[in-house]
Amino acid sequence: MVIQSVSVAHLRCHEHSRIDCAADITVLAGPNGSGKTSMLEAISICAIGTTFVPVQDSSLIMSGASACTASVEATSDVEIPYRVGVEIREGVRKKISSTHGSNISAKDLIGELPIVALSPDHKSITFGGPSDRRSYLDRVMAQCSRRYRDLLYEHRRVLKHRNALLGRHQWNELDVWSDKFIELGAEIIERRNQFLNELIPAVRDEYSIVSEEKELIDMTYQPDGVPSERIGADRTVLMDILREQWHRVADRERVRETTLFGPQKDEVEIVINGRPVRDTASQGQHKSLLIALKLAECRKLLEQRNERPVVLFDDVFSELDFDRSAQVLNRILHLRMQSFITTTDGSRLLERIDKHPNTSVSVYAVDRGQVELNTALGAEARSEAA
Amino acid sequence: MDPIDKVVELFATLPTIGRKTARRLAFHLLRQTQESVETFAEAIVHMRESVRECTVCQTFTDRELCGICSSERRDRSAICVVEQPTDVMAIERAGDYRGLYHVLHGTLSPLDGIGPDDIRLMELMSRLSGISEIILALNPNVEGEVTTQYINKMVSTLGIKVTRIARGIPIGADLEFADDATLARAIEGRVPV
Repeated sequence: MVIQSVSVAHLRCHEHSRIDCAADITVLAGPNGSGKTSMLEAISICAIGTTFVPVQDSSLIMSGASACTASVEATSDVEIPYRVGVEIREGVRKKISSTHGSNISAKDLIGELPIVALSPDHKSITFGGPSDRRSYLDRVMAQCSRRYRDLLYEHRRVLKHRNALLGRHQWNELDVWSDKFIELGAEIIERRNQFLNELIPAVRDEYSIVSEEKELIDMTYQPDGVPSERIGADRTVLMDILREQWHRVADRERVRETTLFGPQKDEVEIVINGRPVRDTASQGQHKSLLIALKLAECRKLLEQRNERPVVLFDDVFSELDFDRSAQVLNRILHLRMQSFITTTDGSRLLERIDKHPNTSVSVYAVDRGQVELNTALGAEARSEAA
Repeated sequence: MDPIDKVVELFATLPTIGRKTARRLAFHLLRQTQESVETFAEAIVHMRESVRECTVCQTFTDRELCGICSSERRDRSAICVVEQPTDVMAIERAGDYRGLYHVLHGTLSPLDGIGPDDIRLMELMSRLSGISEIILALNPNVEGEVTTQYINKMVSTLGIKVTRIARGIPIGADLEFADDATLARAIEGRVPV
């Protein structure tokens, strides 16, 4: 997918803003709090129904306004135009319309415009707890597969029903809900394991390109309560394992009044040279790994959906040294993916891009919710290339 | 409260009716004759007074027994279990089913506090003598599926054949336009030619 334009109204500090995007790199430069990230958030809202930063939807609405809107015009890789618009109003369901119809649900939106976002918040994937890594994996898989998206939704719903029963001490209905919970859980484990096995080679590959180091990267899937030698077993075996586990925790579940087993407790451990990244890796290794995970995500999405994802870099290059950020940018250009970058220093960022006559770059200056094309910087990037 | 506002507010409580439509409906009624509005209002009150649940299948009817339960021409050995009275109408429109119905008026949903005693399951159990097949036609969401399994377990010892309706591609639809979830289920539920 290639985005042609992004428009927003009453989104955070933007009254009305619109950017026309370059096919390769669109840079949004400006001081902190000027509204750069909001433009990336608009793309995320149009792609997955929500922003990539963990905030309440209502905080996106400009103070004093009753609703905010974001819309994107894009062209798919087979050159079919795609449009999507989202309206967020406090207290009511998001209104989403696209080329595929009006009033679509956020669940059905995901995957149409594949995106990969990288922001300082994503550090938690390598630094944080199991839930951060689980949600990384779930997000990638949800964009890749419609069935997985539905599966996650159904699983979450059955989990809530089950917890409600445990909370109300209604043991007699627990059996049927547990059966469904186990059936969905086994399918989630099977799919996560398959997907991870395909993802690991891509992560290793990207890590060696980004870091130019020889460290051995591995990711091990640790489904809650499933012995490591049986993770790859087929679904009926997994269902038996989950059932055994349920019987082990059944008494404690009644006391604690909540579900104590299932894939909502799974861990994906990331290992570097045989030791957990969280405890042993250096800052530099963390950064390289995060980038490798994101680049692998780009490749997986491209492979599975046959559609190039759009990459959003939110203020990440200020934290990376020159060589590493140049590596990343040129890798994205090499994969021919469109990217959007926010930065406080536009000209320094442009130095890092390998100038190639065919590379198209647009630079926008953002200040207090106003967006303006910086023709000087964009032209500079192009003339140097020529 | 202004009488117009009150009617608008009341219309807006109906499903699928928003504020705007509610206002249009209210103003439409204002332009009708006094008599036709009274007929309309009386029809609503009369419907609420006279319609109740069929004592056997629990669907809506204005008699003790609904038309289907009292009909001589229906096959009395099969019961099709559905969630709502509107589902009965949908299957009747299709015109192929000749058996009886049973309306649950809901599905199991612990989150909403709905358990087996809150839907018409006991009524179903009490009418199973002489029945040779139960067809479960509940909606294909997790609540419908779990209710299907619950009923299956409840009647499993009675030696009655229990079936569920098929899931898959709608007739007349193009494969390429079917959504992935439906297609995946259709492949899973394939049948020999």
